[in-house]
Amino acid sequence: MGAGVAVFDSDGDGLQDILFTGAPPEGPRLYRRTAGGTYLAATRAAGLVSAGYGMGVALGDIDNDGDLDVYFTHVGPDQLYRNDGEGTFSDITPASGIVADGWSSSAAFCDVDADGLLDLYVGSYVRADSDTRCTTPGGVPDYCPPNVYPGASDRLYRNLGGGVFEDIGVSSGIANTSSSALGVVCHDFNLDDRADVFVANDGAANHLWINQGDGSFAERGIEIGVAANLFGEFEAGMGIALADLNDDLRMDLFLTHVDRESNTLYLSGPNEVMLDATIRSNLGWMSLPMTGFGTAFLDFDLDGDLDLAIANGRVRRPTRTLEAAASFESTYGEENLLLANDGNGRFEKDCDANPFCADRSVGRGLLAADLDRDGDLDLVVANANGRARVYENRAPRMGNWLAVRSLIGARDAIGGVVQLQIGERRLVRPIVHSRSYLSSRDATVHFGIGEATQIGALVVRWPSGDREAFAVPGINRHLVLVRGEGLPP
Amino acid sequence: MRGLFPALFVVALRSQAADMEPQVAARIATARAAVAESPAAGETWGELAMVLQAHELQNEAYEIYLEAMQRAPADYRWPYLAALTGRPPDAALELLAKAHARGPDDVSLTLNFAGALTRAGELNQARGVYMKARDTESSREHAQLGLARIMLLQGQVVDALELLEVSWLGTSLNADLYRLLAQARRLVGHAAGARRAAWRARSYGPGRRRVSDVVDQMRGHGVSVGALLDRGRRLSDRGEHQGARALFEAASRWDTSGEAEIDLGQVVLAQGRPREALAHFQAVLEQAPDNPDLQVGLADAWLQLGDETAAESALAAALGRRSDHPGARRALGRLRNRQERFQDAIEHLEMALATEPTRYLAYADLADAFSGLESFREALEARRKLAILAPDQLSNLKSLVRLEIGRDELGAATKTLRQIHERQPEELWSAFNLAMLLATSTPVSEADAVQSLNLALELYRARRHDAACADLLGAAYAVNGRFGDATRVALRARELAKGDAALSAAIEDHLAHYAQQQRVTVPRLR
Repeated sequence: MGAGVAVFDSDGDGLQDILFTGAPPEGPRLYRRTAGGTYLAATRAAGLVSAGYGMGVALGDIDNDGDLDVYFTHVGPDQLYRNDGEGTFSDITPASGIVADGWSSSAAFCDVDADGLLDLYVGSYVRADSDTRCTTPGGVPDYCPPNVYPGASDRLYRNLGGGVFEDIGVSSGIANTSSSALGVVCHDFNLDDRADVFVANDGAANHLWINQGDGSFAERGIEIGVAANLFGEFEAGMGIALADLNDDLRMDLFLTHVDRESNTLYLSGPNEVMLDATIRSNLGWMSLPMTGFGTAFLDFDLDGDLDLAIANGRVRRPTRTLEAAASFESTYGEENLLLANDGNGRFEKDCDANPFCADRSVGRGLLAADLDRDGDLDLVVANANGRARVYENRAPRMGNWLAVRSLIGARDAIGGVVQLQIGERRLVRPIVHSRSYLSSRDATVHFGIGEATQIGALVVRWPSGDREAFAVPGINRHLVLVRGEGLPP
Repeated sequence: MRGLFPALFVVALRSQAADMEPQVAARIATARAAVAESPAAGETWGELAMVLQAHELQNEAYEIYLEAMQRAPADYRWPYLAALTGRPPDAALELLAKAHARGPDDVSLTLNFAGALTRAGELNQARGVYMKARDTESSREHAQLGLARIMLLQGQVVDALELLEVSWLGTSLNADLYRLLAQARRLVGHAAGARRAAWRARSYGPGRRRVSDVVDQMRGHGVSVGALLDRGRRLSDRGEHQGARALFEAASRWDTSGEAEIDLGQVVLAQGRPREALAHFQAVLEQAPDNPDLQVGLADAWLQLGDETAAESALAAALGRRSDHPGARRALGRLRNRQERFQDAIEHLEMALATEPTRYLAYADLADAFSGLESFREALEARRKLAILAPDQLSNLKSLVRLEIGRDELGAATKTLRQIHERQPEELWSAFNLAMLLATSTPVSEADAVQSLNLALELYRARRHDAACADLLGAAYAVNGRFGDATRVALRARELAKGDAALSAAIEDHLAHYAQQQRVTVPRLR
């Protein structure tokens, strides 16, 4: 089911390093980017050695010191590492109060109680046992679907400061239900200035936990429309991409699923409803034969519209065959998908001569990040039982760009959004770390702005709901915005 | 052979090389030989393809279906099944269209085709197919839901809402309906209604899905252990224990894991043979001592044999292995019901249902527990949920009728009796009570009056010496205004009822009614 990936500056040198989760005996692998664009193995030197069976990784600055700390989810006890600031990490799990010893999947840091400290949501998969055996209806042994196992409750930990967390799963209501979480994103979905949590569950109703502001959460997936797809099917939710595709300043959700289910796009509509817009966007039909995991919205050609990347890789045998047994990769590997947005919210495959699509690996975690700081977004894919891949973006550029990091003090303004006005259009990007499938990256937001050369306005809506406008000194550059240094919009 | 039928040749060549269970290889060889003997018959090619598909040999099955389609161009099964062999979506849709053109009356195929058209974005065509499907009783509810989805997709929220607000209670689609209703209500700003519908959607959980007869037929060709167990479990779930047992017995001949033996024990137990079941379970106890399903089976068997201590001990072993094992919780619930510890029973049964919503048969035990506490409203609710989620559970429907009658909900009882009668018209108890309720209901429609008479006549013909049936026929004649006939059969009933004081008194009362050209309005139910 693994593995996840993180992209962040682990040692404060301004370059994007890559951290892959892994299983024993290798464990996680940290690769530091050098000024020359190559990567050096640095796991041991960084102290990120772990004996756990790795699933995902979540980044978050738990102590507001300006560097990103690391949380590993495992099949078995999870681990929290504090970044000591100069490229080394310390395992602070024992003193942190975090005891997550089931099968954790995606996790996300966000400030659910608005106290200025990032709390931690940990998705739990199922309580699997090795006794259960499964076959296809035709009797072929196969991996078990999640619903043959009892579900597990997700966890929520409140950050008390000093690297100590309190388990508030039960009091918040989160742990009073069990399911099969795989993807987790944290964002203020209903624009009430509180961090909500969306959880993609595997083969069960997705959960949209709406923050009530009193320490509790209410699950509203069904009435908001994201629990099941239009056909009433609880799909095998895996990865999540979050973006405002229809320019209404509210976030939309894209979810990847197993083969024979389509991927699903939920677009925000009236009265906080999210409507299944998969058919209209052309994202469903082409995905039916594939099993999607990691995914990201990115404007890869900088034309001003968000495109979509999906890492695919099967979990169940494609079909039995009378031919000789094939390798793991040829049995489970699938091509990835790069889908270009036609500007009207309809997506078409854009895979011609593209090695990202052509590699038939067993794709899992995926991130889009500007690894080489050249202004366009590159792709990193963690594959199951195979080599990871880093794809440099060499697509013809159709326009200009802007990358923005928004800080509250030294920490990224997780839970806020950055809004850019270009002519009549308002582009919005969420400030989040955790995304995709089991993956997390630094919270810089990226805008392709097409042929525009002028920015009308750049506004940050901070997690508290306050808004602040910032001057834009020019385009095609990385900006760092700090709360309190702008002007009222 | 090679030149004429390359697809058949490929199957022959590959099945020799493939590592497969011997009975599967033999089944393929037999089907292949039938093709070689009658190569012009589409049916033999289709049979071979079904054998291959039933064992997940999808690509090979597809090639053979193409041959079958050529030879039997009017048979819709081959393109239908070929569409389910993992073809790319466009190709699968094309095959479904071909199948639907050949077999427009197959309900599952029609709904499948309409769903595929919707997913493909061919909304107008999908709407047309659903509109037609709406005319057929068995596909009406699915078609309504399909139409509502298309309306939502096309932005016709008010129209969709109007369609969804029509009450369809009593179908296995309830959870789907309420989910969509919640969203549609919220879209029009009806937040409280949306929340209510969401609550109902959650409370229903998943219902049993429609299975196509054609797909069932294909699966019927499966002889691998996994296929036999899978089919057996489906049958067992539907209460068809004899068929399930045959499949488990066949599987146990090849199975080395002990699974078939456990399934066999469970189905034998369901047939009311606990000693035999115990033997099956004990045969694999050494092999799989920690298997919670086995322990639950043992507990159920001990329970039926009246050994509560042994049952407790087996359940403790199962729950020690997995504390929320839904089967163990359900069995414990049943044990507590038997011990008249109804409150405890409810706790275990509700946990079983919460852990595994598809284990909805636990609703029957839950109803028993509520009945034990004389909480008949809750018992009725549990029975109704089960009736919706598993409409083919006739024993539940009968218990539901009894509860409905007990609570004087005669309209609802009539509806439930109709459900039973539709599924099992030869069943006397439900036919009698349905006829009686129809004959005595107020007001009564002409159609109901006629139906009551037809049913009563059938019953009377079958049981001419049954005083109650003669009395029923009198009531049915009376509701149709035929008081002379009513009096005639009531007199016959009076003869037959000699010795039964209560019935005789009732018949006298009925005769008095008929004499005054009045019909009977108080039902005498069985």
